Formats: sequence, C-alpha cells, structure tokens
Amino acid sequence: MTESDVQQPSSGTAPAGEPLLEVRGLKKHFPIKGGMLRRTIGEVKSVDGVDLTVNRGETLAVVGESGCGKSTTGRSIMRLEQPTAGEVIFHDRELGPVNVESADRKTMEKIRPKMQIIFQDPFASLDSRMTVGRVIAEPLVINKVLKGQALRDRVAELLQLVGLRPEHASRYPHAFSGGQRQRIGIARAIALDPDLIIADEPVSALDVSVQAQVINLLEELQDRLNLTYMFISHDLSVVEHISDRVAVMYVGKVVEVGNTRDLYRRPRHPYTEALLSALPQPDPRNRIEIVPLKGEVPSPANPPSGCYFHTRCPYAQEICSVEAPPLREIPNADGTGKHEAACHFAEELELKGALVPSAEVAGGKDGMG
Amino acid sequence: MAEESDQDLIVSVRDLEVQFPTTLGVVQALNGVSFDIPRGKVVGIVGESGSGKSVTARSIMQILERPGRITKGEIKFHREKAQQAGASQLMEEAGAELSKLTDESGAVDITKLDPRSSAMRAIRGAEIAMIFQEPMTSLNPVYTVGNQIQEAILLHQTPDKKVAWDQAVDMLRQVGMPNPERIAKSYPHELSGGMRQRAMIAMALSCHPALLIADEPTTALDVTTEAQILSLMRRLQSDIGMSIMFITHSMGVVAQLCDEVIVMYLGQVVEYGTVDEIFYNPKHPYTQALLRAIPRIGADEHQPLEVIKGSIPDPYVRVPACPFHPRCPEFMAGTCDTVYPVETTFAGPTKHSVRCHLYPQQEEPVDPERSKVEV
Repeated sequence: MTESDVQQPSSGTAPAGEPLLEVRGLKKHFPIKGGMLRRTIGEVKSVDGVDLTVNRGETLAVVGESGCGKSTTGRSIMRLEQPTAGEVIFHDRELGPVNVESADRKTMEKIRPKMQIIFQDPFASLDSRMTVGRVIAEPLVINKVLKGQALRDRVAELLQLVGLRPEHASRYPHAFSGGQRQRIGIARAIALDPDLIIADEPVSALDVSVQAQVINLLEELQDRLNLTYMFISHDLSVVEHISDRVAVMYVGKVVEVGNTRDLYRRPRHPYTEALLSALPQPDPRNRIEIVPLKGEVPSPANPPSGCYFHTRCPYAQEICSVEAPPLREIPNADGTGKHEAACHFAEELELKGALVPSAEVAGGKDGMG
Repeated sequence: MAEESDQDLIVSVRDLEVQFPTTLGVVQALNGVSFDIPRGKVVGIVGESGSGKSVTARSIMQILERPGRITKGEIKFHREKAQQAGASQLMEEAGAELSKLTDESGAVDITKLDPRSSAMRAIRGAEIAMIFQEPMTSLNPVYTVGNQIQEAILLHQTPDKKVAWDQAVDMLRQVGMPNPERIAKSYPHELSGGMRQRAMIAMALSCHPALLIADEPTTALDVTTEAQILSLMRRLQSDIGMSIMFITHSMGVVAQLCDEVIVMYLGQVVEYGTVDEIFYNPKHPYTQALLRAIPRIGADEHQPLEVIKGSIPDPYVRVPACPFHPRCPEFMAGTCDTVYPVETTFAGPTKHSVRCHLYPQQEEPVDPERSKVEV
C-alpha cells in the first residue's frame, strides 16, 4: 500500500451501489451444555437465518435490542465466530466473490485486511501494555505491509487522519480519554485500507459531546477513503443520522430492511414502529404518551412459534402464532428503493413513523438567546 | 426571582463542595453546587461523565464512596412528616436525634449528620430513596427479591413480618410486575434487566419516600424497556406525588420526563430552568452545544453534527474561572479565564438562571442575599 492509495481512494474502485457483502441465511447457534456428560441439551439461536446485502460505499445500520443477535451477526461475518450455517460472500476487487465462511487460510489472509471491525468499549479493545503506535502498527506488521521508517510514517499519517497528533504514537492507551481511544481504534481499523468496516456500537460508550466528534470522523473517513460501513447500534437517533439503509433485527432475524428515511417515516413492521415510538424525543413540547410494548424480548433459546414478535405485537392475529412470515419485498409506491419486511400484514397496517421534533427546539436559531 | 420561601422546597443545596483526596492529588468533584428541588416535581440533572451528577446524588444520601467527603456547604432536607414513632427500633432511636437537629422550618441539614447515625439511616430509604443504573449491583444475589423489599419495610415501618411481606408483594404489583407473588420468591438472577429495575423501584418506593433519587435508571436498558420504566415512573409520580431527582445524560429522557432541569459541568451547576426554557431558550453555551450535538430525527442527514471541541479535562486538573472556558465557542479572553462567573437569574415567573459572563449580573441584584452566598 502506498500513500497515494489513501489520498486518491476513488481511483480504481468499483462504482457505488454494487454489493460488497452478501449474507445469505446466516445462522449462529450456541450449544447449551447440561447434564452429567455435558451433552448439548439445547441451542441459543443467536442468529437464526439472516439475509443482508451491504452495497459498496453505503452505510447499512443494524439495529435491535440487546440479545437480538446484531453483534453476533457482525462477528460471524468477520468469522470471529464460525457461522453454523449460511453464506457470507465478500466481493473482493481482485479475487471476485469469496465465500468467507468456508474460505481456506490463504484466502482468509487476503480477505481479512479488507474487513475490519471497531468495537464498542474503547477501554477493553486496546492492549494497555502496547504504545498507541504499536497498536496501530500491528495490523501492518502482521500482514508484512510496511516496516522501518515507512511504517512509522504510515502510523503518523493514520494518527493525523483520525484527528490525533503523530507524537501520540509513543504514549500508552491509559493516557487517552474515551473519545481519543475510539479514534485510536478507528486508526487501527483503517490501517490496512479496508473496504468494509463493521462498527459494533462505536459511539455507545461515549459522552454526547464526544460522540458527535466520532460520528463526524466516521463520516469524513467514509468520504475520504471510500469505506463501506456496517453500523451496529441500538441508538436510533444516531442510526438515522449516519445510515443510508437500516436493517431491524428481532430475536436473531431481520424483520425489516429499508431506506433510512423511508423506514423512519413509514415502518412496515410493528416491531419497528414500537422501537421508533419508544425513542425519547428531545422535545419537551412534544411529549408523547408512549404505549410501551408489553412483555419482554423472548429468549433466543426458546423462541415462540410463528412470528417471533406475535407475543408482544398489538396487531397480532391467529396466523401470526402459527406461520412465520418470511422477509419479503413490500411494494413501494414512493419509489424510495427496496423495502422488505417480515410481517403477514405489512401491506395492510398503517404504522406510525418517528415523530420529528419541531425545528426551533434546542439550540436552533431561535434558541440562541 | 421568586422568594425562596414562596415555593415549597424539599431539598435545597447550597454551595456544596465534595473532594476526593487521592494519591495523585485532590479531585474536586463538586465545586460550589447550589440548587433547589421543589416538592412534587421531577427535576432532571444532566451532564456528561465527570460533571458530578452522581456525586451530588450520593451526597444527599450520605453514601459518598471513600475517600470522598463533603468539605463545605449545606443540604437542607425539608421533612414532610415525622415518621410514626415506635414503628421500629431504628425509628425510635432516630426520632429524638432528628427532632433535635430539625430547625424551625422543619429542615434538617444532611451534611451535619454522621453517615452511620441512626438519624441518617432513618432518613435514608424511608424519606429519601435511591435507584441506581445497574440493578444487579444493588440487589443482593443470595436473597429473594421479596426478602430484600421486606427488609426495608421491617427496618422503617412495621415490626410485623407478615405485614411487611404482603406490602412487598403489593409494591411489586404496583410497579407492574406480572405475577408478583412468584416474583417476590425469585432471586435477582432469575429476572431480566427491566424486571430487576422494576424490583429496585419497588424497593425504593416501599417506604413511601418523599424524594426519589434516580441515578441513570434506564441507561443500561433497551429503548422499549426504557419506555416502560419511564412511563411507570411518570405514573407513580403522579399517583404518589413524590419529588424525583432524575440523573441522566440523555437529553431525550429529560425532555420526556422532567419539569425542571439542572445542567452540570465539571462539578458546577451552569444552568437551571424549566424543561421548556432549557430546550427552547438555552442560555449557557454548554447547554446550547449539548443540544446541538445530539443527532435528531428528521434533521438533514448529511450535515455533520455540531461538536464541542476538546474533551472533558482530567479530573486532577482544576480549570480556573469558568470551567467551560477551554471548550467554549463564546470564549472571551481576559474574562472567562480569569473571573469566576456569578449566577445570573433572568426576570420572569421562573427561576431560569445561568452562570456565564455573556449574561452579566443586572445592575440591581434581584436577591442580594442569594448572590452574596454564590460569589
């Protein structure tokens, strides 16, 4: 890799809009061991048949509540967890489509640098005994990309790219704040000039003022380096800001996928509606009496019959407890792109989108005082 | 500004300072915090990590973690009612001590009480209760949920175990637990995060406190569970009429739940106002910046978010004068970095006040008594 690759990332890349990553029927089941012989007595179906496509240059957000399998999906795509079933196809610029889930060691070595991950907790994801310079240089050293002065130059360049100073390379992670640590994690992730970055709740652990800085950095890097993001998050406000498309997960399955704007305005799955209505809006004049979802998220070890959401769904009918609805395309009159939902009544239901807070609230023009 | 006696206050904190002496230096966690909590209102305290929100709450409860200690200031707690004498041994012991310490207006200065004294123990739990962010760390894993609620009731209200148990089950029912009899016999690990938080709320409310301090009670929960807990708190607040001090870093939660808002930064109150004033007419540059930094639904997606430059300073470093000046977009050299801003109260029916040099004190101080204390 040379410097010019970084500065002119758009040259020689495939046009945006083509699929970069295709996930077909991805499953990750964890065995539950029990009894005297530690036999498998059940399975936690963390990810239970996920289909996703991430197009080159876009940001696909994966949202859902804890335990819905969004992080496991990310880790299975990276093959940090070996998927139980399904296909993960990565469209490499040189190798063409590669099946990541079954690739041999040699192919993985070529593919891995192209897919990177950023973790949620910036305090756990950096080795406290390594200087920041070594943390960032590690992927370059392991993949034998650079060494000596060229390596040091690249590390300095990466530090500047994420808004830190080159002299920070000699310090240890403990000397940095949460936001700065997340920048270091981002520098490490972009060191090998990847195509895809899976960002697993990258801003959830940060304070509001720092969160905005990191979000802006991620967006800026996406433009400069032509990155594709899979952005895993539970924060629907951040997701609306950063993503082009959103996939909503519930108990190991994708229940709805659509354009961000479209999905927020007109959700097609009752679970998406519930998520959007539960979002506390930062507008005191717009207090909504939330009708909270009843009950709890079912256990992925023992999911309900039929549609997994029927136990909590306010619109559930008889068929919902019997037949599991597949994820299917919903005809879209607005022409805002493909919209898919896994609901028997996706066409009939008139679901409410997210409320939009009034424009003058909160530090808007009128609020300046 | 309205005279303070006009309003029925439950807690008034004046000039509170808390220090944590450590081997690396003294951390000034609170640096002259003053605010009031009106009775029957939900007051939100917002701020980022290190702003002193939790330390403020813990000071009121007298449960500061070591080596933290209150070094200055007072916390006046206006007691609602004398607890029934003879309800328990603890209440009997505390009764005499408390009546001795209560001034003519019926207020007790909490800072004067020993954290381990029976007077403080009588107030804590019975009159001021607290719920925490992570319910698993505040529930004892080896006792059933019912047992733990029963314990609080036995300590403060009744010596009768059967009555206490029934009351515990009833509390669980009130916080919307399905099948409260079964839940009362469950251990904390058998419950989900949302259920544990409900159990915590049931425990906190079991002695009918006049003030409930909620320290980020929904931060660890998912949005749908958060919505359930918030609507529960709103319902309980209007049913029981207690005051709530709600600590959070989520502006959305504040907007949805609170009546008044205290904005804190680095151990100081920088702005105080009604929720409407804070969201529609914020005065302090920090409040304005905080509100602009949150992504909001329906905003222009490809516009970068406004950021506050820099990050929260190291706790061992004391920022002179206005604590926000190194990050402030309105920074005025020579003023903001040298003079500590006084509190300016805006004219009007509410007590909207701010500590910022952009809003110099009016010519005639509205309340000379107050500003004397503040400077």
